[in-house]
Parts: sequence; C-alpha cells; structure tokens
Amino acid sequence: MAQTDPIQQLAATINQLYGLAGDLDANDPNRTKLILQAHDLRGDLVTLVSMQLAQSMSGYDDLLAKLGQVTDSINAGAAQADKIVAVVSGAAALAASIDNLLQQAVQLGKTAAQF
Amino acid sequence: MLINTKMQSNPRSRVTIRNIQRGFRPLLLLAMAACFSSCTTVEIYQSPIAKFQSSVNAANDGIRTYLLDINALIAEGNLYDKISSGNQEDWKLKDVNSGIPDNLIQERLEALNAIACYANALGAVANSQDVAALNQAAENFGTNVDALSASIQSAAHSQYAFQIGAPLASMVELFGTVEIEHIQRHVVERGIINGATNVEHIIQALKRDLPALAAVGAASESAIWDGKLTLYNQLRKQAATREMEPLINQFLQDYNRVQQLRSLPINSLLDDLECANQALVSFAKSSKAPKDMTTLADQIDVFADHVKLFNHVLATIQTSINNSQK
Repeated sequence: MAQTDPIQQLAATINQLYGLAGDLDANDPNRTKLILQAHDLRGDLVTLVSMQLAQSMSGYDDLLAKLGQVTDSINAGAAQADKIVAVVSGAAALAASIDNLLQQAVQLGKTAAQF
Repeated sequence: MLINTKMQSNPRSRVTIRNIQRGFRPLLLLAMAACFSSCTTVEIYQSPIAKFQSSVNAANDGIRTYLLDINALIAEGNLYDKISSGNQEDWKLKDVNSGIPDNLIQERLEALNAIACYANALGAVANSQDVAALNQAAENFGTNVDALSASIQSAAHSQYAFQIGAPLASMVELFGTVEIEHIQRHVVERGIINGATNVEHIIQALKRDLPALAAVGAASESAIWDGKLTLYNQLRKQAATREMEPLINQFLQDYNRVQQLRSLPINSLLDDLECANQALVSFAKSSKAPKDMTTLADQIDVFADHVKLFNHVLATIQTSINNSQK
C-alpha cells in the first residue's frame, strides 16, 4: 500500500473538517468548533509547508512521520459524519499534537544549530 | 610511434608527410561531407523542440499564476474563517500576511523560469540560421544550462549542482563552417544530454514542493467556501422570491470555481513535463538510424494537451471571478 504524504493527509483532514462544518446548521455550536479547529490546522499546514520549502528544520522527516500517525486517527473519526463530537475532540487532539511536534522540531533545529 | 619520430626528424620525410596531409585534406572533407549527408540533420528536432518550448512556457505561465495566488487564497480563507465561525474580532494584519514566505515561493518561480529559459535556448539553437547566430545561441544555451545549477542551489539542493554549459559554445567553434544543420544537431543533442540531469532534478524538486503548495491552496479554498456558504445562507434568508434565481446561479458559480481550483492537475502536469523531457533525452541518446520519432512526439503531445487543459481551467476560473465581480 502506497504511503500517503503527511502534508496531503493533513490537508485532506482539514478539507473534511470544513466539509463537515458546511453540512451543519449555522447555529450549531459544533460548526463553530469545527471551523476553529480547521482554521488552526490550516495555520499548522502553512507552517509545515513553509518548513518543507525551506528545508531548514532539523528533524523535519521525523516530524512528518509522527504527523502521519496522528492524522490517521482523525481521518478514521471524520469518516463517520454522525460522530461530530468525536471528530471535534479528535481535531482538537490533532491540533495539540501538531503544535507539540512543531515545538519539538523548532527545539531540535535550535539544538542542531548550536553544533 | 618510433617510426613517426624518426620520420619527423628527417627533413625530407617531413615534406613528404606535409604533401600526404595536403593530399588527404580534400579526401577528409569529402569523407566528412559524405558522413554528414548520410546523417540526420537538426530538422528532425525542430518540430518537437518547438512544441516542447511552447508547452514549457505555457505551463510556466499557468503555474506562476497559481503560485502567485497562494498567499491571497490563504488570506481570503482567514477572513472567511472569521465569518463562518461567527468571530466578531476585527480583521487584523496577521489575517492577511501569515502565508508562505515570499522568498520561498520566489525560489520555485525561479526554478520554473530556469526550465523555460532552457527550453527557449534549446529552441534558439535548433532554429539558428547561420553559424554566427548558432554560436551565440549555443553560448546562450550553455549559460542557461548552467543557470539550472544555480536554480537548484537556490532551491536548497546544492548537492545536485553541475557546471555543464561551457563545452557547448566551443563545439560550434570546433566544427567551424561545416554544414550548419549537422553542427546544430550535435549541439542540440549534446545540450539535451548534458542538461538532462539538472532538468530532472529541478522537476523532481518541483514535484515535491508544488503539490504541498497546492494542498495549502485547496485547504484555503475549503475555508473560503465555508465562509461563502455562511454568507449565502444569510442572503437567502433576506432575499425576496424574485431574487432567488440569481442567488442560486451565483452560488453554483462560486461552488464550481472552488471545485475547479481544488482539482487543478498540478501533479500530473509535472509528471507529463518530466516524461516529455525524458523522451527528448532518450531521443537525443538514441543511435537508431533513422531515429524513431513516435514516442517523443506522443509524450510531447500529451504534455502539450495537459498544459492546454490546465491553462483552460485557470482561464475559466479567472473569467468566473471577473463575472462575479461585475
């Protein structure tokens, strides 16, 4: 089975979150939560793509491998549109994981720069 | 070797050798002419190179338009996110300037431009009408092939840098005024073969980077679409019955534009560019006589058709944006 590119995988997740939000009524509180999570993840996606283009970050490949693992879980949840609450909490966990990974990558980059 | 040295040390022998050389010169020229007249000329390259050149330039224009729009899409997505999430905060500068750093996009544009310059220089060599023009074109071609290395370096792939252009111009001088079509063919073939590695590496780098940028573009389109959906629903609630039809038309037009942008075939366009270039290299390397044009012509046709489709979709999107702004 071909390995999915983590950046494409994250982008697909974001598209799914926006897609789910688009199918909810405007006054549904979950819609707002989904949009906010999608917005955060889109910011992370921009950061990751910028890192890829700059190729300046040490540990970038490890970061992408871990990203692949965390996006898998959200994709599984997003496949079931009836479990919106699970998707919202899954997206929040995903955003937290990515933020954590990005911080680790920045730290790795700083450490590598010292040597 | 010993015999030669002995002969050259004898003045009489030296005269004899000079006479023999003089006698051989016309024979040598005749032999070269006979060889060249039986060989294929640059003519066989002119049509595929012209098509390759125009397609690379068209692809360059299309992808450039798309890349220059990425940060505008990200900014637009951020503003629409505020609408669809009901965020009452003011619009901030960070909403519109938190995209991909311009220098990183610029590097990819330069890499695309380097391939277009390479194709243009190749076209100039293949179509030079006299030796002076060919000399100039070959020198220019060499410079462009070397510029591909600089472009790769700027894209942080310095391990792929090669300097390979210089020998091309000297080739023209070497062959002097022998039939131009044959020199052209040699310069074209040498140039394609020498440039192959660098062109391939640039295409590979673009194949890795452009889909990532396209993914950002698609995610931003999703954000824009959700924001528009929110606005359309607000408009729908306020619209009179007679206003519904134009509203539906506008809604569907916006939806189609988003769908088309999401499905822009950047990845496969680069695949086809790579295949066309590889076919050109295989054709230049082929020692078959006569050379078989079929694969080369087919690959370049596929690439040319794909570029047309890509640019057609972009033009359609642009028209739909212009119409919606009227």
